[in-house]
Amino acid sequence: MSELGRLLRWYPEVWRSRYGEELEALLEDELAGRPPSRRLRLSLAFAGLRERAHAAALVGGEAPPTERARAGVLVVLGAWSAFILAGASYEKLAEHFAGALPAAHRSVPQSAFDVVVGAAVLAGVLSVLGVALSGPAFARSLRSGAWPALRRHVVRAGAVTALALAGVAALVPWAHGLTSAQRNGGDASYGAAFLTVAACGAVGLALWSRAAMAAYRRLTLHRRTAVVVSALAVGVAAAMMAATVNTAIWWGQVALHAPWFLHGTASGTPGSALDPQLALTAVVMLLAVVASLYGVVRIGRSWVDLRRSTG
Amino acid sequence: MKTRGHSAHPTDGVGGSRRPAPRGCISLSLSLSLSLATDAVPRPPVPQYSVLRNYALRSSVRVVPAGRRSHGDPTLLILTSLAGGPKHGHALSKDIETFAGVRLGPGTLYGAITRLEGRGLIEPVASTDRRRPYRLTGAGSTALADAVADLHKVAVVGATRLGLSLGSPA
Repeated sequence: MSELGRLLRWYPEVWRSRYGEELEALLEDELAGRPPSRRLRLSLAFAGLRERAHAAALVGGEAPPTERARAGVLVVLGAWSAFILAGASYEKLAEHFAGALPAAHRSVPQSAFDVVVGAAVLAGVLSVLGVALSGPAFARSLRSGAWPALRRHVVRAGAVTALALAGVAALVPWAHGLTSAQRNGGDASYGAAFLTVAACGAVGLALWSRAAMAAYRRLTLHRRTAVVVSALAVGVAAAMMAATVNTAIWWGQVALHAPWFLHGTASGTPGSALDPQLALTAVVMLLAVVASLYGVVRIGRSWVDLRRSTG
Repeated sequence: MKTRGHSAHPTDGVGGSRRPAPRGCISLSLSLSLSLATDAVPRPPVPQYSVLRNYALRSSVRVVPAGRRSHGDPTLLILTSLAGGPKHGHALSKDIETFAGVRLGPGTLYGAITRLEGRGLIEPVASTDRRRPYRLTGAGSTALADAVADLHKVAVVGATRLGLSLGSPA
């Protein structure tokens, strides 16, 4: 592949097969033998990614409304996957927080924590319902030959998940032989192993999400099912938002009444409420909420357009 | 007052609400939504000045200083260029730079070509060359005529209220 041809790798394959040669010829004319500048490379990368987003119906209005709604659902699904990771991190950080708070100031953060857990459970249930509703369409798509396209996604996700499970199986007996302090940062080798297994789990979740997205793209859903799945996605987005707001409330309350809990020092020790891990967790939650809201807007607009076009 | 179809030409001068406009010329950087002409849903007849509402809801109207002016919608520039005859990518880019003073990057140009072809406003001309030319379709001509008429209305209202005459494109 020529150097100019390599610049077009950001574009989707289908687009390249239609316009690739023309764009390459244009670049040859514009550059007249000069090497492409960094600005041109960046511009082409951005344009290529934009074409990918168009091809996935994530932006623009050229795709049919049902495809745009489907893309919106997929954005919410992707955001939910990221949110699960952030939620797991939050759950670990918040372990035993109630014991660190004075009894008089426990009710608000406890309620906020309960809402976070409730919202996460609700979003999980809605996701499972969405999967169940899509089940018959998924079976139809497998029967009509979708498996070869999905196989590599499933194999990759399965392999990483098996690795993560093997890691958990090895960590459990190890953890039983350690004290609480050793398990929570006192033992460097255990900490490294735990992080590796957690990273495997995170990658596994991301790969399963990718597999689910690839499968969902190939489904032919009945209109009613598509509407219900879209509504479930909106519900998941709302649950994520509720969980994020309540995480912020919890953080504020704990920072106010027991800041030592956030930086893991002895009770009564003053200190900053800005725990880096909690901050990162909150940022991931917030980004997931923003992405899911984009998905919800995409779903909403698509259904309005569909309704208009069908009278 | 002398008016022309596509009067919002970048070489016509500078206009803006926050800085004094030079006498005798006006220039708005307008971005039109050309999907209007190709919407699947038939639109009801639009009242007078609907074009302004359209700008507010679906488009961007920006007034920018001379030298840093950029048209928001490359699709309008491409349609305008193709109205002069079929052109391939490089010829389009050069023509647009000549008549509008705007240099479209290759990614932007082909992004707009993709969208215009997808909407059926332009079509490729049969060619064995890698430099494939494009031409306007009937729908493309209609969309461009609508867009030019809308631009004209705004330019006329703006020029009338400022007491200016619309300059001719260079």
